Amino acid sequence: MERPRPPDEEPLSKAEREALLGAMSPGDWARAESLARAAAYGLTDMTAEDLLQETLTDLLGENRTWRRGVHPLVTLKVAMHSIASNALKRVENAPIDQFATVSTGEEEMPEGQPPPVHAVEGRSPQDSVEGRQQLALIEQLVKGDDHAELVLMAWAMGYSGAEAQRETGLDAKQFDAARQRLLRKLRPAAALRNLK
Amino acid sequence: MTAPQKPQDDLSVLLDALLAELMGMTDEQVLDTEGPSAVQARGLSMLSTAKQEAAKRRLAAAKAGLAVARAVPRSVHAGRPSAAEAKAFLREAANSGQYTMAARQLNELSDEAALALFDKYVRLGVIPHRTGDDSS
Repeated sequence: MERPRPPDEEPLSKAEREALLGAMSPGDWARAESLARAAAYGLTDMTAEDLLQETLTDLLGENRTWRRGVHPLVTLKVAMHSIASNALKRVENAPIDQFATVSTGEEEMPEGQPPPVHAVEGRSPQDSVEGRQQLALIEQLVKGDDHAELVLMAWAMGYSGAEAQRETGLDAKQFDAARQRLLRKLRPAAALRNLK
Repeated sequence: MTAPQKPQDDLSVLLDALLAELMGMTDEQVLDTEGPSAVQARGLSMLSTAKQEAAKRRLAAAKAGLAVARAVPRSVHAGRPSAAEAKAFLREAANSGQYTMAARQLNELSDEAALALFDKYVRLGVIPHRTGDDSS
């Protein structure tokens, strides 16, 4: 016979989920949107808004576990990453990418947009999985802004806050400014895809 | 300095670091040029849409589950079905839209594989497991 779980191991109920999400501050909604922009970056069939909407729906539908005591933003981040990974796999497994523009090899890299597709794919299948493709696209976004590139690199290595600042070698003011530029750069790209 | 833990995948590491970074920023910094009330209103509107959509999906899943349950022959409830019954059930389940199964995959299933898949559905609780004395 299955033993009942201790109360603190029970996943959150629908009502508890609703209450926690409904109590999120404006700052936390802004944080959730930032996470959605990064997680959805490079996806052709899902905008950041779609991703956040789908994640909220999944969580309220109790299709995803929400462990007791876990902050809503942590739960949102894990669920958004999972949904974005599935969306990426769906696109990669599809026979045709309807949004892809095949490169002639002569055009300039369009700013703030995913790069054109090359007739011969230089990335290995291993690179395509595991989110490297999305990270490479975000790298393109800040290309030419040395400080923002350093911040992104530090985050990609898993550093954040003071550690990330130390890793970049930037002073606090430079780091804050570069971080803000990087976060802003993700906005127009997400807005652009909303128009599709 | 302690090195970050072994990464799961590149995007996951980036999202972890980004979340930590965002949590360390003030609300004013994360809101940037946006007004707090506008951002919150947008979030709450998405939440309201999500509530309705989740309810709609729950209802659709319940309806599909009912259709699948009706499609299960009584002999299936009473014990292990024949390969033909298992295949008929799997075909019905795939058509219900609740479970994804390629038609090609279903047609190519051997009797043994169809029975194994059926058993898996029982283990997952898709098909209620019952004994021979089904009196309902």
